[in-house]
Amino acid sequence: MKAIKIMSPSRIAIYLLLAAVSFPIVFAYLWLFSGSISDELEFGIVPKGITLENWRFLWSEITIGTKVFENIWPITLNSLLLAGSITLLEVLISLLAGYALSRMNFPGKDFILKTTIILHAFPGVALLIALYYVLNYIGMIDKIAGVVLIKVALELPMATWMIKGFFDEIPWEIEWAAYMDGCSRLQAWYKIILPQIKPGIAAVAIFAFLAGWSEFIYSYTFIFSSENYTLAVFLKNLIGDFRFLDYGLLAAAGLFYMIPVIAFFLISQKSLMTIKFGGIKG
Amino acid sequence: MEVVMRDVVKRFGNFTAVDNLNLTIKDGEFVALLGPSGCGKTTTLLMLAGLYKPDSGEILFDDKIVNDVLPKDRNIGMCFQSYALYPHMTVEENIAFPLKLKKLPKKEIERKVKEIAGKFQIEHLLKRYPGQISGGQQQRVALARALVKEPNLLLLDEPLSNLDASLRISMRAEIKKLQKELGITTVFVTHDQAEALSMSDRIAIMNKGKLQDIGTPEDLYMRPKNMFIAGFIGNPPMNFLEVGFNVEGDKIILRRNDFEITLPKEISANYMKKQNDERVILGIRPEHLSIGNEAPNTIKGEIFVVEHLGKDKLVDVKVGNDRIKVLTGQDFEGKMGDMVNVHLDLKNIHLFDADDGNSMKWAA
Amino acid sequence: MRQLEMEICENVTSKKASMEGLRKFLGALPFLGPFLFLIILFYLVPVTLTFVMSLTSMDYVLEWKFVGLENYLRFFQDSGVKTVVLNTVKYVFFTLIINVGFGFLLAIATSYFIRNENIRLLFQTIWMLPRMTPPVVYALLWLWFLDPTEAGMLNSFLGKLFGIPAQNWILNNPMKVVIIANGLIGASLGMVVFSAAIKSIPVDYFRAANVDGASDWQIIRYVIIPFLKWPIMFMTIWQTLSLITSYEYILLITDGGPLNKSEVWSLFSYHKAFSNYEFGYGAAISMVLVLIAVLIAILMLKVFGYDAIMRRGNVDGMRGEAGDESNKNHVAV
Repeated sequence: MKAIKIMSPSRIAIYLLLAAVSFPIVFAYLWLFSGSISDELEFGIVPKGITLENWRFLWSEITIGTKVFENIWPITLNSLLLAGSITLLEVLISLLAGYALSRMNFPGKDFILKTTIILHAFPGVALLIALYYVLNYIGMIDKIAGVVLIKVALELPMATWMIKGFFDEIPWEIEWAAYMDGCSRLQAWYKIILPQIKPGIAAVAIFAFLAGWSEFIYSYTFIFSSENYTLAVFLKNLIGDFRFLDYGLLAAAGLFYMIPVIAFFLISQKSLMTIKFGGIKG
Repeated sequence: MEVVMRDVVKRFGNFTAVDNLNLTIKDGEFVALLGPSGCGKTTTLLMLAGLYKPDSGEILFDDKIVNDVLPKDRNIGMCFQSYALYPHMTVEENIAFPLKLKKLPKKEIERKVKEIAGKFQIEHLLKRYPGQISGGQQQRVALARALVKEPNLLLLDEPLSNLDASLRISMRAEIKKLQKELGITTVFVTHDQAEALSMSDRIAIMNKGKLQDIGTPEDLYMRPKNMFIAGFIGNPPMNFLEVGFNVEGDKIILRRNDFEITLPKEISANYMKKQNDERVILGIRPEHLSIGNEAPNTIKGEIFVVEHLGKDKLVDVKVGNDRIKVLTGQDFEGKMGDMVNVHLDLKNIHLFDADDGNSMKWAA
Repeated sequence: MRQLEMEICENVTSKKASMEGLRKFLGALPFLGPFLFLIILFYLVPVTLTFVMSLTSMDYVLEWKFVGLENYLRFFQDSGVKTVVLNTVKYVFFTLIINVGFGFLLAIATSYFIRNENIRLLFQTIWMLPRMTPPVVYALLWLWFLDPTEAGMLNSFLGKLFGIPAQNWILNNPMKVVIIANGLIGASLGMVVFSAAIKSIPVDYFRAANVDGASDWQIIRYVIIPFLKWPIMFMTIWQTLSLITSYEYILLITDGGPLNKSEVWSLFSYHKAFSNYEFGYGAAISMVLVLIAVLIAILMLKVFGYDAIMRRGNVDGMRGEAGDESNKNHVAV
């Protein structure tokens, strides 16, 4: 049944062009990988001999002159803590608020909805100075918890909006059936409604985690003590000091930092592929 | 349980969905709320369920006002048009859910679920998910879930409209039989008059938020109080013809430029309400018309089209600018374009006021 | 007398209605509480604070010394501001072109020309990479790519291929680097949004165009572009909004340098506050920016209307439909 198509020249040209503009990106990420496992590269990305020396930050301290860098594991733990807390709070709060905005009727709802849209587009970073003051005032400056709260607050309008969309798609009859069966509003929420938007929750959670994991500007600005550093801040300092000295080390550290992102890509790609092949198999 | 609605009003913004509704449903009765879409029947049902709150008026269950009782505390079983089964639970979990919320002991839940599953012949489906069973099976599961907690009131919202035609007809009988067995007060919303006629003890017919009438199927069919009821109940629907009203002696003559019908004395007596030359609406059902020889007191017309209904034929006859439907036997052999004489069964005519549409005989 | 009675009656019902409203609001509060708390604490309070701070000469001691409009006057007289504003305009304008224009080309190429799902997915994934990469790593890649030594990728490439001597790209062209680096990130967003829009065009239009013998170019011109008009406008305004206030990547790649050559407005405010500890002055600079952003946001709402934005609420291409459940929200529970 498969028709053999001859590609038109314009189509071939598009493919070539797309491949050409995409090449530097692929190249850059390949370098990140090759550079992390080799001292020397040929043609930019082909490793000449493999070494784990660049990954030494995983098991020993790294120094530059007399300066000793922090051990990476407590910092990784901080990053995990930061991203994990952001995910948890963001999902929980947006599930509650999204439900109210989707399903409840109360005065001021319209105002809150419109405000949420505007905040969605509001420049949170422009408020950095005032946020500094607020954090300082509530005693959360130089604390991971402070960055968590800010990041959650800034991402809430978006997350709530998405979750609201998921709730909107659940038929009212299902919720009504729950009330008729004897549920209170809260019971209907977690026993009947939540299980049905699991995929949506997962999506919001993954994006919240990645956003938290990648978070730079607030940690960089609001955290000063090295014991509270996150990977982003650590890497930024590393770049500042090693930039012209040891790209191999930087590549390895950068790659280490990117593990969750890469995992996300592999997993989502794989699930997309299986859907494809599953479809072909019928 | 007896259900009473007293002066119930429900508005959505400026739109009045239910307007001053008064309705009494007797214990054990099967009542259909019938009307076109948007007539307020589903809103009424949802108010009984407690999912909507009336803006004014009272709803009483066995003489107790329940306006402020939450749905979960009303002990009502409800079955939705889309069935509203919980997709993340198996059939068994779906049916057990209301009992679990009542915190019944596990053993008892199991026993009750088994029992009701037996009654609905769905035992073999218990481990499956709603997405894995057919529409008819989902319907049974939804009914089982609604009934497993032995509710005082059963509410059915267009329960059959998502089923295919043959299944719908067999479910009608099944639901009716079950309702009689259990003796449970049941309110049933439908837009399908055949469903309402075949299943319910009484039909409450609604239009534009107002209750038009409530009565037995026979009542509504034989003695419609207004044109809306007359037109809504009965299939094919009643024919309406606008005619002039004239009284000569003790007889009424209905007249228009293409025909003239003289009503005999005993029938005329019902309608002596109008002045000469006023306009009235003559209503007559297709089954009370027949096609015969040329004679006085008949309507002349041209056959527009003949529809085969299986057992019968439905003949569309053009009379002036109007078209009337006549139900004839299978042996009728007229063709398109033939001129025919339509005979009226004068005992079964209805006259309606041309202004307000009320029956000149039955309106209160 | 009668009229008075009626007024009293109305008064009573409106009071009753507001009681009912309060009851409903309190019912929603357990769900909305945490959301409202964070929004107030980290949006409402900071906006107000930013304004009040902008009227002070606050420094790292965080003392409130009110100086009136001095900060604003200083801002409009500051000789450095001219460069910064000019930089910002340049930065926003050219980055936008890449965001929207290149994003559009990518969308057309991947969603219209490439028919093979897997190849399309591959290219779209590649272009999503910069967006998903943590900013610090993304900046690192740029620093390496443009490394001024001969080992730098671009230098070694150009050196080997064309014999061009090594040069310090970032030092020589800071704005261009910043624009391209940011442009690529925005382009992937444009790609995702426009691709979704192209995919939502009913396939019948393409069939009809094919039957009519339209060329690829004609299909793009007469079928795709008309459908993409609104998404393009939306992306343009949306990206303008986020570009004028974003500085994360600039901070990481050039830090505004050299000599303020790539300093943009928002970064300027950041530097004033967190490098020079002039919180009051920094707040004033931010405040002007926030006002501009709000104006753009209002313009966006005016152009598109709330409903359209509600439906397109999420520009990252994930779902975000707004349901019209006007009646059903009256549920009494």
